[in-house]
This record gives sequence, C-alpha cells and structure tokens, in this order.
Amino acid sequence: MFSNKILACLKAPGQDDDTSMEMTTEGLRCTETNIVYPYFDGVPSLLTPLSGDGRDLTERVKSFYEQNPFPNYEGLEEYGDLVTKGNSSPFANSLLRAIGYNKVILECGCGTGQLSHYLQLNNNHVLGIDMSLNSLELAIEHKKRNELVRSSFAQMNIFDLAIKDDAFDVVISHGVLHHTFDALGAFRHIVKKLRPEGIVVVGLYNRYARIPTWVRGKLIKFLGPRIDYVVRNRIQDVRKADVWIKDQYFNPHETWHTIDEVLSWFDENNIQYLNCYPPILETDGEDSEDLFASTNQGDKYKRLTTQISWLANISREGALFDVIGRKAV
Amino acid sequence: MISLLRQILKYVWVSKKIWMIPIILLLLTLGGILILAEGTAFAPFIYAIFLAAAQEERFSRNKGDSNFPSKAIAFCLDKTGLSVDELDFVAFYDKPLLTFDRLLETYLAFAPRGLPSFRKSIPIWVKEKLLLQTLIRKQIENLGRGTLPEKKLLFGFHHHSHAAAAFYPSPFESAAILVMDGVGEWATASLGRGAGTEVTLLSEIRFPHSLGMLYSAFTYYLGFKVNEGEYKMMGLAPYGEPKYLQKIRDNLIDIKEDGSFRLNMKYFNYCTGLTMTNQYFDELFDGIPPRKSSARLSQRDMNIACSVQAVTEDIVLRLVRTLKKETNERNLCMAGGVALNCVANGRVLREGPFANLWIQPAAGDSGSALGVALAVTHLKGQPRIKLNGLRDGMKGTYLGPDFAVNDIEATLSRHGAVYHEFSDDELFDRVAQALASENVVGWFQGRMEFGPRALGNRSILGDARSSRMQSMLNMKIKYRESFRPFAPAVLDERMADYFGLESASPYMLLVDFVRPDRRLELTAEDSGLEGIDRLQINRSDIPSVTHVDYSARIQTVHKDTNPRFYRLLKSFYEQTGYGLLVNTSFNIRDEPIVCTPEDAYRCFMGTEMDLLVLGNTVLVKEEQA
Repeated sequence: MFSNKILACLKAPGQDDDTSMEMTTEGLRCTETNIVYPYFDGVPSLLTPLSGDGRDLTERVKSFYEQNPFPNYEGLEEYGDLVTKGNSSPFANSLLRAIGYNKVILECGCGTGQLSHYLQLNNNHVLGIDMSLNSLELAIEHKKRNELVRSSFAQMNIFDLAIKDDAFDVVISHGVLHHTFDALGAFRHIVKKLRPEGIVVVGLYNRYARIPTWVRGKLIKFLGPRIDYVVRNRIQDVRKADVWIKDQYFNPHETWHTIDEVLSWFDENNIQYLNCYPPILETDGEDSEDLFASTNQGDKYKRLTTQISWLANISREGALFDVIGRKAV
Repeated sequence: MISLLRQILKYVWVSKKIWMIPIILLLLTLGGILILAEGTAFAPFIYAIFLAAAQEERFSRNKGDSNFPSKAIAFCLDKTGLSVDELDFVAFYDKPLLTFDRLLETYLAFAPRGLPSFRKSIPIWVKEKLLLQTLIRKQIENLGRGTLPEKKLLFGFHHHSHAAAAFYPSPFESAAILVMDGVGEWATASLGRGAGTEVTLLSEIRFPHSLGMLYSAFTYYLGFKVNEGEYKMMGLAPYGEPKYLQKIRDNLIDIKEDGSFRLNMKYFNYCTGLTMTNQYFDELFDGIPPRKSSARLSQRDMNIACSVQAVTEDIVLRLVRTLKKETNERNLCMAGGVALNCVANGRVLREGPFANLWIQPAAGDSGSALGVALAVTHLKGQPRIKLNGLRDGMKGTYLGPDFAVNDIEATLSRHGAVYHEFSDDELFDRVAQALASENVVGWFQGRMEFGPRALGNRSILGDARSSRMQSMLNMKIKYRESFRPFAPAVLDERMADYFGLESASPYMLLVDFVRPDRRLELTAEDSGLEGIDRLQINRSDIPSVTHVDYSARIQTVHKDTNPRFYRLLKSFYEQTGYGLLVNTSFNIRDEPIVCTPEDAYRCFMGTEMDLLVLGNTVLVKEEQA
C-alpha cells in the first residue's frame, strides 16, 4: 500500500515526529503506542476528529467531495491514458520535468489522485492525501488495477497532518487551499512537511480571473452547462462534465487570491519565490523552460497586469494559478 | 527564381497546360510576398542520406517532424566527415511542380467544392514546395558547412525514388518492383522492374484512386491519427470479422481483376477538404460519425478494421500477380507506405507468385530519400553496391548515430545515476537472466536504426513466454492502447521452431503464424470472450507475441548484421531453451524512438522498465535513488 520511502514519512495523528507507522491487515499501527488506525473501505485513514475553528465548513466541503469525487476517472481507466493525458497537459508535464527523478512528493488534496499517479513516474514516490474517502477509494482502485507501486494515498486533515516535518522533497497543493476555511493556515501546515531546499507548488483561484466564473455561476442555472468552456471543449464524458460543473459552480466554499498575497505567505514562511504558472509577464519567467527555475517576480504593476491578462486565458478554465517556491535552509 | 520560372515554363510547355500560366504567376507573386514577410519557416519533408541516414524527428524529439532536417543533415555530414562542398549532388525525392499540377487539377476538377481547403493549402504549397529549390539551398547553406550550387541540386520522381529504394539495396540482380503509398506527384501505385542499375516504371494508378488514402481514410474514421495510426488499425483488424467487406466493395471501391481500382469519391473528402471522409461515408457505415480518439473501441470498429485490411490484402495480391505476368521476374521488391502493411506482405510471400521478396525497411517517405540518392549515383555511372556476402545493401538499416562510452558515462554522471560496467560475456548472461525473470529491459546499442522499426539497437525487450508481458508493456512501459500486439525477435536459425515463415525477415516486415504445435487449446470460458478481452487468453507457449489470430510480426536476428543482439538472444536461448524475445521500439506513445543516451535514460526513468543497458553499462531501476 505504501512504499518504504513514504511509510517512513508517516507518524501517528497528533503524535510527535519520533513515532512511526507500520502496515497491518487491519490498518496502520503506531509502533510506539500500538494504536491501530483502521482502513475505511480499504483506504488508510489517519484523520483526527474535526474540531475547533472552521469545523462546520470543513464538514460541508468534505461531504461535498464525498458526493462528488473530483476530477474522477471516466475515460482514464488505463494508466497509459492517464500518462498520455498528463504528457499533453503543459502544466502537469512541465511539473514532472521540473521535479526530475527519484523524489519524494506530497500532494495535499489529491482528490481522485490523477496528478499523484502521474507524478510517480520518473521513479518518484508520491503520497496523496485528501479528506474525501470516496475520492481516495477511486485513487486506490486505479492504483490497484494498474499495479502502481510508488503512488499511495491516505485520508488526512490538512490542518493536522500525520506526517513528519521536513520529510518531503516536493509539496504540492493544486487547487485545494481555497476550499479550506483558512488558506494561509493550511499553507503554514503543509510547508512544515517540506525539507529545507525542498519545493512547494501552490495553486489557487485568482482574484481577478475568477470573476467570469462567478458570473457564469449566476447564469448557469438558466443557460445550462454549455456556457462553460471546459465542458464545451475538453470533457466528452457526461458524468465527468457534471462533476466539473459542481466543483466549479456549486462548491460550498471558495476564496480568491493574488500573486502578491502568496508572496507574503512565502515571506512569512521562509520560502524563496521561484516561478509562477502562467508566468508573470515581462519577466524571465516567460522564457524559462524549467518550472522550478529561479525567476524574477516583477514589480506590483507587472503582477497586476499579468493577473488582469488572465481574464483572457486561464479564466475560462477555472482561473487556477500556481506559485512555486523553495524552502530556505 | 529565374531558373524556377524557366522550369515552370518548360513544364507547362511540355505538358501542354498553358492554362496554368496565369494561376502560377499569381501564386508565385503571393508566395514571394509570403516569403518576404515571414522569413524562413519552411517545411519540406525531407531526410538526409549519405553513408549515414536518420530522420529529423529523432533529433528534434518531435514525432513526424516536418521541419527542414538540419540536425539530420548535420549528423550525416559529421558521421561521414564531409562538407557540403564535397558532396557531388544533393537530391530530393519529389518533383514539386508535378505535385503542384496534381493539386491544381484536383481543385479545378472538384471546384467550387474545395475552396476553403484551397485557400488554406495553396499558399503553403507555393511557399514550401514550389519554391523548394531555393529553400533547400538556403537551408543547407545556413548549416555553415559549405555552399550548394544550383546544378548540384536534383529532384527525382516520387515513385521512382521509392522504387530505387526498394530495388538498389535489394540482394537481387533483377526484380519486379511494386510501390504503393498515399500519393506522390500523381502516382499512388506503380508497377516496375529493376535490372542492374536500371529502374523502369511500367504502369501506375493515379490520384485520387489510392490504396494508401483508402487505408488512411479508415484510420481516420476509426479515430486514429492519419500517417501514424495505420499500424494501430492493422493491429486491431484480427479482433474483428470482415462484416463490412461487401459494403466496401459495393460502394467505396471498384476492384478490377488486374488489381487496378477506382475509388468512389462521393464518400471521401481528402481531395477538397481537411478531413478524410464525409457525411456520405458516415451514412454508409451505420450513420455513425468518426470515432473520437478517446472513445472506447467497439466490436464494430474491429469489424471495420478487419474488412478494410481484407480489401487491402486483396488488392495487393492482385497487383502482385499482374506484376508477375508483366515482368516474369522471380523476385519482387516493395516500398511505399503500404509496404509497411506486414500482414499483406506475409500473404504476398505465402500466396503470391514470386519466389523471393525484399522490402525496403524504411518503406515510407524517409526511405525514398535514400532511393533518390542511390538513383542519382547510378544515373551518374556508379555501379550497384557490392554485397560482399552481406544479406542486402542496407547494413541491417543501422545507419544512425552511435555513442562512445564517454558520452554514455557523462550523461549518467550528470543525472547521478547508479550504474555498473560489465564485460561482454557477463553482460549477455546477466541481461538474459534478468529477462528470464520477467524483467523489462531497455536495450541501447551501437547505431540507431533508420526507418520506423527498432531492430535491436534502440529496443525494449521482454520475455515472450510471459503471459503478463503484453499487458505490462502496453500499460506500464509504452503507455499505449492495450489491444496492441508485440512482435518477436527470433534467432534466425531457431525461427522454424516457432513460426511457419520460410524466409528471413530481418526488418520485421513480414507477418506469419505461430506453429500449430505451439498453440494451446482454448477453454470454454476463453471461447466466450469477445473483442479486446480475447487478448487475455494464453494462445501459445509464447503468448506475449501471439496475436489473437495466432499471427506474429517477425524479426529474424542474424549474427552478421547485429552480433550483439544475436549474442543476447543466444544467451537467453541457452538459459531458457527459447531463442526469441519480445522486441518493441524504445519509446513511449506519441514520442519518437530514442536517439541519444539522454533520451534513453529519460525514457527508462519515465516508465516501469527494470533495467537499462547502454552498451556495456547497466542501470537497475531499484538501485536508482
């Protein structure tokens, strides 16, 4: 279920980093306390009961994704199809190329696990975590059917990760933190799991480019799902289109963010800015072929015009932008 | 430009097509403006051939790259140590003017139906093809390896180039020649004869009636990419029944006794449109539009593939019989894209009237670059290549780049890879052992193959006895469609142990059947399976290279053409008693075959391959960290 490299990164929920876990038939067992954390429908679960701030909202988002596992697998049953799709996606492909070989990767909010499965290429080991058991079940089903050995999955809460600090070479959260009750708080938690000099990739809805989606959200009840660009051009499967529409227009909670905001998160958490996807206009990021190359972040004006220009491109596909940084030593 | 005008006027005069003059003048003006405006984005689809040969896609890593082959030419010059000044001639395998003539006439014949496509394609043609002479010279001179005077640049007829590629490197002193492809200038199939240094084309079938186009039209209709997916359709055919055979014959194509044919152009769109088929075609086939590439393959798709494959084989066999009558030769040479249809080739060998068959391994347009180069040398008085005991003139088609140990080690060190060096004896034994334990091995040795097949120098290898090898290779190594079969590479002297084929097939261009005594009885449960599920059945003791109809696309491996691959197979035979391996090209879906150690390392790390062997250097996936 977990490769040794990934198992070594896990700890018991709420415990110190010096605890370790082992796999048993019933569940994951903490070798120090002997507590067994049972599998739910075959999914390893290290989820602590929800409490405190944002509990209600987290419950609502979790239950939304239990009902609508995202992005789902229709048409991608075979791993070969998934790899081909990944290779043809400019973002996924440049992410894999930039990550390189033999890395240990954490994906926070992996949904049904497509990106985690794709990134386990190049001899990388990937742990995908999510709250939605139904999504993780699909991820594990794909893993088993295709006999994948380096991608693995567990149910966890992003605010209480059962993962040791400084454990991963790369931490990714692509389109997830904006569905939590505290995106910055979640960011603080996930970067702790990154080793010094490790890379963080955080993808969020953009404050400006998301406006057309909001407008479409108001109209979609009257005009139908065909007003969405992705449904019209990218998705052929009806069920998948339905899941996309729900995720984009009927999500119980989302927040919008700017590049500058993420830069302030980076500063606070000792992360050095590397690159942005799509790139910041009129900076060397535009010419950089390596997604993890250290590029200029431009000035406020360039960043603003970049985000306004996104109204013309990424806006129609959900307005997700990714900022990449490196954890300082 | 002046010389081009002179050529055009001469052509118009000779072919009595005075009406073309105003159109050509107009288009040339337009083309000139485009060139002045856009600079040098030209795309002639040509390949470089000297004593070395390679396709541009392998260097640029862009599959089917149609840009000017600067890197391939640079490689050929480097490999031979020649400068452009030292070359006697540079030849191109097509007569652009004739092709242009065909385009214009076709558009006029169908006018005004093809106007949108005309508007789109003619300016590109004027720019890229009609002004080709200027462009080729300019691009070659841009390499900075010397200058190319106009008189040194020659153009051959397309099918003559194919025919030359089929005949000159063949082991025959004289032979009949059959060329079939989509289209050259006008010809789509040519029948000819070669003797000594003479190649003569006797008759031809002309555009738009084209077997290659018919096959590609169905490739398109079944949701595969034209010029790439033809192989997939051929692999799909054995899953089906020829239920649409009569429909195709009654409506789409009129086949004469001698193999000549006419297509009913009502159903095809390639003359005037940007698609291959049209709505009449859809209506004929149950009113269903072309399959989307992501849609699941149905039994109906398989039946269609099977039917068009049957039509193709029928036509090829008829043409071959006609050719025999016309030439009375003992030997047959084939080239052109249709000659890559190895199922049809197998039938030509088994059922056709010729005693011997030789097919150019680079049967597609890449090989015609080689053909035109050979034709020019013979035209200028050079004698045929002396075989001196070699099997044929293609040297096993290992004509591409090779890499020294230093290059390999530098690449691996750059990536921090963990690797081992072995002596030859140890290497072959260890790799054979790993293969026998169901490991998948990336095998990178010596010079890269020229042509579409990997023949043991840029190959991925596996154990043909393994029942899970086929699905594992498709799913986790090649990332390709699970219905696709794999081919065996077999020691030449052990071929009769496994297959019915009676002649050597060094270029993996012949399909034959697994011997009946190796086949396994199907269980009742197996017999109930349909479509792609039939692939799960173990049909023989070499299941991963046995297709659902017991066929196999065979490569025979010979000690004299590839001694290292031969030794590996020999070691495997000594360890297991089986003298064959699964051999598939070293690449993943939609990527060109690897060329450099860097490409090989990337492909190895990007897939679930267990071992990578670069010369005598071995990488084990488990040890990489």
